[in-house]
Amino acid sequence: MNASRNYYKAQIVGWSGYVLISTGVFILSGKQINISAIGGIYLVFALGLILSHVYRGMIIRLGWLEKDMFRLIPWVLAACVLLAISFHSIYLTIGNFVFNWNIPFKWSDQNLFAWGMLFFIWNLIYFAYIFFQRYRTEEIKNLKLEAAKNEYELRRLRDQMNPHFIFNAMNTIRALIDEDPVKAKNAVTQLSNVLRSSLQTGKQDLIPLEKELQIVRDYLEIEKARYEERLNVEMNIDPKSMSVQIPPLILQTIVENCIKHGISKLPKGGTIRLDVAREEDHVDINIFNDGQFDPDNKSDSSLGMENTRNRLDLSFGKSAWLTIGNQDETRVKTQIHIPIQNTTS
Amino acid sequence: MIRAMIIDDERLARQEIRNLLQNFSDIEIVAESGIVEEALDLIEKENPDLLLLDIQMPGKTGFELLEELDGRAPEVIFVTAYDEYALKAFEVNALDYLMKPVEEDRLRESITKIKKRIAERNENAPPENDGKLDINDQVFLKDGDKCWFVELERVRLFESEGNYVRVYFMDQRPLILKSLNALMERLSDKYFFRASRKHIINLRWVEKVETWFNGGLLVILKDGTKVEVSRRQSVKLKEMMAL
Repeated sequence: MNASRNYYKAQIVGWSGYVLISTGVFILSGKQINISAIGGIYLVFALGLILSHVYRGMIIRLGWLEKDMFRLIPWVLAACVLLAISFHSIYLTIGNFVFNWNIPFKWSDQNLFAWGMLFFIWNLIYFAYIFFQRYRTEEIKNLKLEAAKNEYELRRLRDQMNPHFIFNAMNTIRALIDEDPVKAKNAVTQLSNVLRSSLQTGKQDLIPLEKELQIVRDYLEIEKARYEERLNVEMNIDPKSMSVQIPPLILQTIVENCIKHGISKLPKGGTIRLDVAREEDHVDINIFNDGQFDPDNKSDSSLGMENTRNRLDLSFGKSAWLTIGNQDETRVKTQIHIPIQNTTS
Repeated sequence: MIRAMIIDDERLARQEIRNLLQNFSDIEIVAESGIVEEALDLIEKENPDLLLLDIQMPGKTGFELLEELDGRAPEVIFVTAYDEYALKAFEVNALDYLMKPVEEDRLRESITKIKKRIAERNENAPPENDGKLDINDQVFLKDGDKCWFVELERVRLFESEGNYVRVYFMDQRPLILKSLNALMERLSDKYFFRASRKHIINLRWVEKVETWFNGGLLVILKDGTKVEVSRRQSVKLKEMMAL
């Protein structure tokens, strides 16, 4: 869009520049100004504009922009010769007809060479711009890729140890030690399980759903100790889906977001429901939580979601997907579709 | 005796602070709450000296709660598990904060500091109190990510900017969402003077008063700021200064 606007600007400025310089040279050389000479200059302007524009259309249609620049050099040179010849013949035909120049077409005419040079300069500017533009977008793309890679690494490390979760859990356990020592003991075990799994499974590419669900259960137990009656959990798991392989901590990340953005924001709390159903060639995982999803919220969790998508993509390509949206006015639905890989199950 | 109030949305977190405070004989817990709206009412009713305040709570954050306080701000100790943004705010402005699970020694340090501050304030406090904010009282100000506890003594000027008021103290000048009229109603007129539609000045900060056009006055504050006093208010100021 912007590049195309720049093209039109450059065309107008370039060819107008030609008119200005030629008129200047003409006046300075002391020649007499007549309609025929001025008309000739404007004819160059109009013809140059039209021919170069048609040529540019051809460049785009032939897909020259996608080709290697160095291979294009002979083609561009040939184009310059062709352009000069057609330009010269049209220029003379119109000039002879309108202004009665009476100049015959001759191969030795030095104007022919001048037009060739003119189009050569045109090509030089055009391709230099394209080359520069391409170089810049390439540069930006590389930088973005680099940044995304770093972000992923960093997040992977931090995801393993969510400090907010750990310290709140510790605080809950501290209070439970006086109040309900048995519950406190259980909470310590559950917290150990979550920490151990996140350390171990971080290194694995895929784990069975059964193992992931155990992490999620332990995780939710700790959060239930913390939020008490404010957190309610429902699970409907299809036993046939237990052996399905999924990337580790995918469900845990989503459940964590459900609490962070849903339950913890509600004074009365709410419910998290986890449905897992096994189909012929895939598993459907639906997670509902009370709260509202805000697609405009660019918090680190939306990055976490992006990260989760990337991990699904890395493991399964396009056959796995994740969507998140508001189910109704009070509930958010997260849906994950995971293909079943051909294992014995 | 320091009258303290605990505000945290998790019952066990409140219980944990209660347990810790049992070891402090001079602290009395007058109220606790897990809901910001309820907490605001309780603060109004109980007028505690100290809040132990969580940051992340459903609906509103601890900072937002302080912003809504209508009157003097009590002493506050923030209690949070881990919050990068809040930590930044604490460190920049030297606010008191504790990390969950709370260490008893750290709690003791904070409480000692706060007891000293409360004692100082009581010493300087005027004998009669009309319930308005005087220069020993502190207020909580928040502008974007930044927040401050400021003793009104340090505030030299309030300037109205549309629906907002700019507060000048030290080298800071945050913008808060309040009207100058509402503010004047809360400030003690012994120390604060409505100079014009646009300004409230702290009389303790006045360095010089000069006559100005059409019977108006020009007040020059100790930091060199010049504030015009409207004609009507000039009469009042002259009366006050004549004493």
